Amino acid sequence: MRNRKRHGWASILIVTMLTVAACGNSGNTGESGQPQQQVEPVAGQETSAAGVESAFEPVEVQDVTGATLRFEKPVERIACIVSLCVDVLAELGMEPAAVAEGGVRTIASAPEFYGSAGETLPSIGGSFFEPSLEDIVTTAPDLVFGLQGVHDTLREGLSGVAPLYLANPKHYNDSLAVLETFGRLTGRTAEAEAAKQRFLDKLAQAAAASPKDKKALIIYGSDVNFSVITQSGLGGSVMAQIADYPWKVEKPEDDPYGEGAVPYSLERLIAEDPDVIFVESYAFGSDAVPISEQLAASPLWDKLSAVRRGQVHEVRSPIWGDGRGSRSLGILLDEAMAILYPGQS
Amino acid sequence: MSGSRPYRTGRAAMLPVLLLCLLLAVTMAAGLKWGSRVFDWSALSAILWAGGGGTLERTIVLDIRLPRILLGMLVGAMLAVAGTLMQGALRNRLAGPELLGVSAGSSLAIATITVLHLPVPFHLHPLLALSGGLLSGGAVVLAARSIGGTGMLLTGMAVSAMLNGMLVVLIALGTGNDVNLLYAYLLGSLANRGWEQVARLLPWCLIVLPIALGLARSVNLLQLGEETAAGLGVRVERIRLTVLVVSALLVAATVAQCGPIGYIALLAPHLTRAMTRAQDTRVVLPVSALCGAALLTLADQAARLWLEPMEIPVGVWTTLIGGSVFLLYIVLRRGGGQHG
Repeated sequence: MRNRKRHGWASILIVTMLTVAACGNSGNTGESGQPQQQVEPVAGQETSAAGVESAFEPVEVQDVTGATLRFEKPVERIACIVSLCVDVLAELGMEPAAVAEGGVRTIASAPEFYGSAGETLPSIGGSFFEPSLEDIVTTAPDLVFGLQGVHDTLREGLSGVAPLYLANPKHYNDSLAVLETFGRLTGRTAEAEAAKQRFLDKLAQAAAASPKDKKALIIYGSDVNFSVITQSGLGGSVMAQIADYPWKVEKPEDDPYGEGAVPYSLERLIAEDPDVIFVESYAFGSDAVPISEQLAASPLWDKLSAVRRGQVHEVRSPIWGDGRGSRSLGILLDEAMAILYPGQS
Repeated sequence: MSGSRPYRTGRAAMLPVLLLCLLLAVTMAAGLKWGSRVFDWSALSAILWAGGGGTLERTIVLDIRLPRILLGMLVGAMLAVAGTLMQGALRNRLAGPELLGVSAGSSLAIATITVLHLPVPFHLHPLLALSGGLLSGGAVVLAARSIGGTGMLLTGMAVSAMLNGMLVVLIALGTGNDVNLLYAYLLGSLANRGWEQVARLLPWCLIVLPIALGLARSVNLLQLGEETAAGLGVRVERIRLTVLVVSALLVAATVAQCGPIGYIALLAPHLTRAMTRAQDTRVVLPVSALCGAALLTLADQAARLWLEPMEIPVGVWTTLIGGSVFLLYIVLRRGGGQHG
């Protein structure tokens, strides 16, 4: 009797859990239960879909892992599980079919990208490292855009659902190459070319305007536990064009995965003594105590001139660190120039 | 406690103590001399003793390298003492602080801050890590009352496993940068610490280490077996709980400042027993503290200088080298039984 009662409760619990699981991703589907169609394209950036399709020729591309992807018609629905995807699509005047939560949603909702519209884009649950396959399938994308080194194992799970394109740019030229690739895949080569040129013009202008007499540093983390973005990191490759940026990976084995961000000795930072420190922060703009004040309170960090002179600046980690595309790098450039050389940018 | 092997006097420990002091002195000298700037001995001596050198040189030697070495010594000694006490009180040579749930609790606190991007000021991180460690350690101690040594070990393992599971959930929620930073903490590091951290740890050392040393005699009796110890007037459960509390305090204080640093607590007591050929906790405890200090300082200088300017968290080295040495030790001793 007691056992039967226990089994009864267990059955109710299982049914409830299954019901909750089945309803958990209702945000991705319309009332009919079908995947929600794309919301309105970004104003002023619409391209005629019919025109694009008629002019489209089959495209074959290779991603950074060497995987070959072939498309017979323009890619329209792209599921973004990495912030770079949002960046690229924004540059091309498209909207993601769905975005992963966390950092990807944050950048999609930033004013320079989709603003409030980014908050309502269909959601891919799970985590950054393991996005929900179920949500991706529900989105019915033509292509899934992920990060090499993180999402590689998704390819198998996505077979028969959608091809997976992986990227992980280490230099701004890599980011521009990804942009061009997606221009071809979506039939928006003109938009891709325009965005690329916009970024290169901005970079050239900034490099020309920069006296390069300031030593800059980009870090993320806390006072004792931090990483430095080196010249071989994406942000470092841009910063090196406009400032003295001496932070290097001396030996390849120091950065075996080519992350471009390595734990660095504070001793070396103090010896180099940068003029301006940019700290990538997720608490940017919140009510938290500014990192500049926190570092100034540290007896060790206070040895740095930048800290003593109040030249520690918090920047948006989702854009400076995670964005990885031409629009994010352009924002990095604008914000860095304004801080490094006020009045010249 | 081996009944067939008599207690050795402190005299047998003299040579190991001298060797460990020598190792510590050499490591300290090398750590002060080498780095992004290499100082010659006269310049180093001038900076240390005569107020010489420029501001930068003085900062590097006196504010970065010196406190880091001292911090390594303090942390190493505290971990080794915690390990020695636990191995003795639980009569299990594989017992270690990780069974207290302290490291897992502290790690969970830091993971929560890092992954959820909580706007907690940096200077509060160690305090929250300490609270997390003490809470989880306290939970283990409370749950382990009156259930014997094996029960305590199993309780510690269960609590640690639960907390580590929650940690994995948080890691899964993080971004790439979060996880990189979190790993650096989880591996344990002495990098970029200074006098601030030494000052935070020193009171714990001054208060808790003497208490730990005071427990040595009781731990000796516990090693004779519960019944014998009880027959000799030892209140077994009370002493065991006191040992757990003292160990938890020692470990929580170190984890809060440097993250969980593996293998020192396990390895130092074993090496000490092997070097001194002593089982007497009154001898093993202080020598083990010295051994832990020397091991961690040496590992940290290797971590700092090997790939300079990049910093490899010292916990990577202690795990790699400590794990290998421990494996070798077990093979040589043909097993890690209770009295190994």
